[in-house]
Amino acid sequence: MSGFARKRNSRVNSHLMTRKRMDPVDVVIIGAGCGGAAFAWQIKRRAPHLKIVCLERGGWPDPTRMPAKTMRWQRAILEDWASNPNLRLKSGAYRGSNDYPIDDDNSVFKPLMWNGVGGSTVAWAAHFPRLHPSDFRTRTLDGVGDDWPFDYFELERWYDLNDEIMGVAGLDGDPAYPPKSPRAMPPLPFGTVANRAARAFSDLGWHWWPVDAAINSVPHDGRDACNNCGPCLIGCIPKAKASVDLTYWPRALALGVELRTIAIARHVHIEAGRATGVTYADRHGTEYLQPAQAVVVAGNGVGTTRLLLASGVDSPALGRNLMYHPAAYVRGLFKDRLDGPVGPVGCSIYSHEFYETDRARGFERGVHLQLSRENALAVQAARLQPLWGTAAQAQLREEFLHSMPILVLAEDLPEAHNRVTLTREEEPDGLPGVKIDYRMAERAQKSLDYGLARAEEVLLAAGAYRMIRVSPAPLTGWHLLGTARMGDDPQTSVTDCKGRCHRVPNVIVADGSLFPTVGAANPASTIGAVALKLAAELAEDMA
Amino acid sequence: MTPSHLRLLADLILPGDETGLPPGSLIPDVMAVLAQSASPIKALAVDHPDFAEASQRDGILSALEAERPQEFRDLVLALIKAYYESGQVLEAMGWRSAPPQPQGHSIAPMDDALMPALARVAERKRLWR
Repeated sequence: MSGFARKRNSRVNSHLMTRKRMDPVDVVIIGAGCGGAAFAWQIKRRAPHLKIVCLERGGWPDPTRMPAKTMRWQRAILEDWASNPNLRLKSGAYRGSNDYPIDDDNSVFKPLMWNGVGGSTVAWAAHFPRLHPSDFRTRTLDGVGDDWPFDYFELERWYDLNDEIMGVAGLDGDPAYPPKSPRAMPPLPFGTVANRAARAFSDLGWHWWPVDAAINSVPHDGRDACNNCGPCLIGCIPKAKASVDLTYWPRALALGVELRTIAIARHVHIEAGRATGVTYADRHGTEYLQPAQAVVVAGNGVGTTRLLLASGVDSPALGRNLMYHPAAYVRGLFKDRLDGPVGPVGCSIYSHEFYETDRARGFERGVHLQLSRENALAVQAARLQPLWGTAAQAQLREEFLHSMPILVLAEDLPEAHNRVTLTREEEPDGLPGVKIDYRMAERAQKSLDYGLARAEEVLLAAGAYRMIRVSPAPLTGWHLLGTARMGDDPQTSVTDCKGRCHRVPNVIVADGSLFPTVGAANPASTIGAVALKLAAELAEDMA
Repeated sequence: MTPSHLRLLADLILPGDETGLPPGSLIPDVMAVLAQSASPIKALAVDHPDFAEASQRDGILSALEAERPQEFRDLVLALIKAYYESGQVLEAMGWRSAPPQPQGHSIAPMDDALMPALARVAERKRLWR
């Protein structure tokens, strides 16, 4: 434990008697996002006798304050509903997300997240792929990274259950994966861009398939079908996009889980290697002590690390091995008019033609190619280079309604120097500040370059007359993974295979921080599945 | 700093085009943002001794952008947001002025002609390891 953390712990403990002491519970869960919600529902379902409380630093999403029905919706994407919490804080407006600043100056990719009930699923694109079986065995198969302590097939039943609760639109029969449970809904509509891109992939003889999307293509689970409005990242007013405030939380609350909002967990109390409870603060800064038999932390790869480091959890691996999924994209420009900024932004078709290792490419592991959709006009204008003048407006004229972006995700591998640490400042939420140091590996850049070249081939085959590369794409850091990784060795991992911290076994991590490796596909499906698995195991252990 | 100077500045940043995109000075919200802005870039630009010379203005702004990149970017972004959320500009760009909700949009379903291609993909041997 650092001197700073020791001093803070001493101060926190000296104020212990002045806090309002809540009735003890069996399990306190910190964070009501993707991992925390699935965990809460599952443990209560499996062990109804347990008293479960969840502390969430933010509030419930409020569809009446979502901007997609206002003329300022484009501005919202850049300000109060920006994906990056620093930009939201800078806007100074009502945000709906209870943010803390992150020092990301030393990170190529900027961390993106949403801090409220539903977590980042409130503001995600809802692309919902699973990892491949090989992603769990990279050390064995490819000699890089580390194997997970369990494999795809041990997780498969939890993937299926997570798909069922979230509601997945897609198409059965994809040869990129082992057979999955039947998709609940047909795929989302393609639009001109996906129809054209699919033909191009086919002409090249490459794999493509409609994505698995956690978005209703038809009415499902009491929620409407998507009306293709476009800006998924500023909240979904029709509730067609699955977010865990709409899927897991109503079910968990119905079972009797208690969810306390605007409850900022400041400290996990640890005595003799066991957690005894959590201090949290309400909106007025009043502190409460919540005693618990077990503490589950699910605040994403930054928030979880921040709280555990601030609480003095002693692990050499804690905060290290941050993985994002390095991302880049290429925009193809077309002479004829395409769709524009409509349809679910991240959900049309994808390709895993180049996902698995082929050493002839000069790097291990692979890339995920995903057709995206156009940005809103103001967002695109704000990202032009040059930014102003005749040339900027001419470029925007050329691109808007005429571009097709393909996103390339590469696999990050764990590297100890990519890390989340605490600063010496205390932030307004009563926790230490947090800093990210991350640089992209040469191998990841090679992967991106390879993927971008393939994306350009597709765009050319689709009829693009010009291509614009954006590599890397800084505002893509949604996937905050690996900072409390699972493993057997307490020197190189933070938790065991059940998510229990080696040094404090009744502190359980239940989010993407656990991932020993990350594949090259979006993690939410795997975060939910892992949380379901760990919650079932904890329920059994506490029976 | 006169209103005409501010209009010139708005039109330098957002000149519009010959196919119907209006110059920035014709968008009331752009002018309101510019009038209310406390950005030092505004004064440094319009109070520049050569700003009256049309041939000098681009160079003056380029120099300010190089010297004070963040302040310059902040001002330009503020104007861009006001400009491109204007209904007049959205329509001039070929888009509708109504927000995304509650109407949403119609988009084409998967083309039936793709079915044979998709079937060929499905028949491939497994891609996963």
